[in-house]
Amino acid sequence: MEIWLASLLNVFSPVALMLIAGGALAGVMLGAIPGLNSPMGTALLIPFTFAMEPANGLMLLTAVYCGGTFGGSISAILFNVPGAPEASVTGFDGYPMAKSGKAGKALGIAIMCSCLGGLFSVIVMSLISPQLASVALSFSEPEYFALALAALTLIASLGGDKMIKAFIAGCIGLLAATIGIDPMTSAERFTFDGDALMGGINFIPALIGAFAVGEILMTAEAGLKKTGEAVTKVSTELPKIIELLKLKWTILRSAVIGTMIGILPGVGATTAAFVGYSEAVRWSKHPRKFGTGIAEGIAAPETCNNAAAGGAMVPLLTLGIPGSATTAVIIGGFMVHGMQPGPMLFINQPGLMYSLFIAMFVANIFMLFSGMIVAKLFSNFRKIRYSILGPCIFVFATVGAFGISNSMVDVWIMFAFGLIGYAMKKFDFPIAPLIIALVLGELAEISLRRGMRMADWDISDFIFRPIGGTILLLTLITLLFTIYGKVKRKSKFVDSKTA
Amino acid sequence: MLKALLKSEVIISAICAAAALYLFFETQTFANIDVYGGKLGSDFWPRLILVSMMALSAGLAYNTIKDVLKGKIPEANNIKFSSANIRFIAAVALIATYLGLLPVIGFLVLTPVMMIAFMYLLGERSKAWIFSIPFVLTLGIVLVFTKLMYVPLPRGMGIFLKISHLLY
Repeated sequence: MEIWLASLLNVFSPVALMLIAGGALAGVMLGAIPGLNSPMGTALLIPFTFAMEPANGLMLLTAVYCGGTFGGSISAILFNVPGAPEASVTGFDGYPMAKSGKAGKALGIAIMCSCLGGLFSVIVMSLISPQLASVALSFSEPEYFALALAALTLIASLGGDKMIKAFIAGCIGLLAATIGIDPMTSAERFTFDGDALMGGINFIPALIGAFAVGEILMTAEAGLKKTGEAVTKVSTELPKIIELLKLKWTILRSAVIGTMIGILPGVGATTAAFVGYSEAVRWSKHPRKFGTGIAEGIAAPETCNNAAAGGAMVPLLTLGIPGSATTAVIIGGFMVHGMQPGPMLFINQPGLMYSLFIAMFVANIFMLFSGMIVAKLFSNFRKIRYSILGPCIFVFATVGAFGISNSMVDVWIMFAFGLIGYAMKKFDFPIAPLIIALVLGELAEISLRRGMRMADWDISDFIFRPIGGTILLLTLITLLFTIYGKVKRKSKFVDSKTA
Repeated sequence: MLKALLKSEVIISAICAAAALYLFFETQTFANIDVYGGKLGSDFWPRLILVSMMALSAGLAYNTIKDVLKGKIPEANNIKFSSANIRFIAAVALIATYLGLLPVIGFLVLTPVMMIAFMYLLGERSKAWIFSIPFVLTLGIVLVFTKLMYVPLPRGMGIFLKISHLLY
C-alpha cells in the first residue's frame, strides 16, 4: 500500500503530469498524421529521456504510446486514411458515419471507447499481470490459427447479400499476404523473379491505396457531382451515458479481447482491432449494418486497440518480451536508464512499476482531452472542398506509404491497391474483407503450417486443445449460423416474390 | 441477352478465374524446398486459396447467369464507357507519372506540380488556392518529415538533387 501511495505522489507531481499530458497530446498528433506513428515518436523521444528521472522518462514514453494508438482513428474517420495501422478497422464504419454528416459523433465514440479500453487494460494489468503473462505463454500455434480463422470468418458477415464477392475479396487479400519470401522455407512466392516484391505486401500501403486512393479515383471519375458534397461544421460529440450503455457489451467484450490479444507477444493492437470488430459483427443483432457507419463498428476496434496497448505492456513488464512494435521501442527506454524489463523489475523497482501503471491510467484520461483538441484541429480540414482536399490526401497517402520503409515499392503497392479498390467499388465488391484477409493471412498460414509440423501432421491437436478447440468450435457454429441465416433470408425473399 | 451476360459480372468472374489459374501454374515455379518432409510446403496455402478463388468465381458466374436469365441484373453492374472515364484515366495517368518521376525529379519540385494538375482535374478553378496550397503543403511536409522525423523523401537527380539539398 505504501508503494502505491508513493507511486501516486510520484505521478501527481507537476513535472510528471506535464510530461504525461504532453506525451498524450504528442502521441495523438503523431498517430493522426499518416506516415508518422507511435513507434517512430517513441523512438525519437528516447534521447530526450536521458536527462530525466527514469520514472518520468518512461511515463512520457508510455503516454505517447497510449495517445498514438488512438490518434490514427482521427484521420481514418475524417479522411478514410488511417494514421496508424491500429486504426485501420475504425475507418470501416467511422468514415461512412462521417460522410453521412456525423463525423463529430464518430470521433466522440472513438475517443471515449479508446479511453475506456485503455483504462480497462491498465486496471487489469495492475491487478493480474503475472497471471495474464502465464496464460499468454500457454498460447501456441493452434490457438493463433484459431484466433486468425475466427477473425477471417467475419468476411461471411461483412459481404451482406454479396457473400461470394466478399469471399473472393478475402481470397485476393489472403493471396496478397503470401507474396514475398515464405517465412518457413524461404522460397520466393509470386515475386516474378524481381526484388521489389521480396519483402511482401505491407498492409498499410495496401489499405491506404484501397480506401483513400480508390476513393480519390472514384471522385475524379464522378467529377464535380461528387465534389459538391455538403460539408457541415464538425465538432466532437462525446457519447451520452445512454448511448454508452447501449454499447456496454460491445465495449466490455472488446476490452477483454483487446487486453488478451495485447498480451500475446507479436500479435499487437492491429490484429486486436480486427478480431474485436469481427466479434462485434458476430454478436450483433444487426450484423448487416456493419460497414454502413454504425456506432458498434467504431466502438469495437477502438476499445480493442487501446486495450491491446495496455495488454502489450504485460509481457514487457513481467517477462521482458515486447508485445508490440512500440513496446519493443520502450524496452530501449528502460535500457538507457540501466534497467532490464522482466520479473526482477517488480522485485527491484516496484515503485517504478506502479508509477507506470498509474501513469498509463492518467495518460488515457488525458488522451480524452488531447483527442478532442486534435480532432477539432483535423476536423477543420473537412470544411475544405474535395477538389483541394483530394490532392492533399493523396500527397499524405504517398508520404505515409513511403515512410513505412522509405521505399518507392510501397508507394507503387499503394497505387496498385488504389486501382484494385476502385475496381472493387465499381463492381460492388466489399473492400473490408480484402484488408482483413491481408492482415491476418500470414498469421493464419504460418500458425497452421507450424502447428501441423509441431503436432507431427496430426490435425486433432488443433481440435482437442481447450482454448484453440473452443475458439474453432465457436467459429464453426457462427459461420454455419451466418450462412444458414443468409440462405433463409434468400428463400423468404423468393417466397414473397412468388406469392 | 448475350450482350447483357458479357457486360455483367461474368466478365469479372472470368477475369478472377483466369488470374487464379495463371497464378496456380505460377506456384509450380516455387522452389521445392523439402524442409518438412514435403508436407504443407510453400505452395500449399497459395494453391488452397487459388482453388477456392476459382470455385468462388464459378459460383459468382453461375449466380449471375441465373439472375440474367431471370432479368434481374441491375443496370449499374454493366460496364459503361463515358466521358467520366477520361477523367479517371487522366487521374490514373497523372498519379502513375508522378510516382514514376518522383525518384528522378524529387518530392520537393514534383509534388506542387502534381498537386496543381490534380486540383485542376478535380474541378478546382480558384487560382489563389491552386497556387498556394501545393507549395505550402509540400514545404510543410518536407520540413516535418525530413527535419523532425528523418524520413528521406525522394530528392531526385542532377539539378533536382541540388534543389532538394537546399532544404533537406
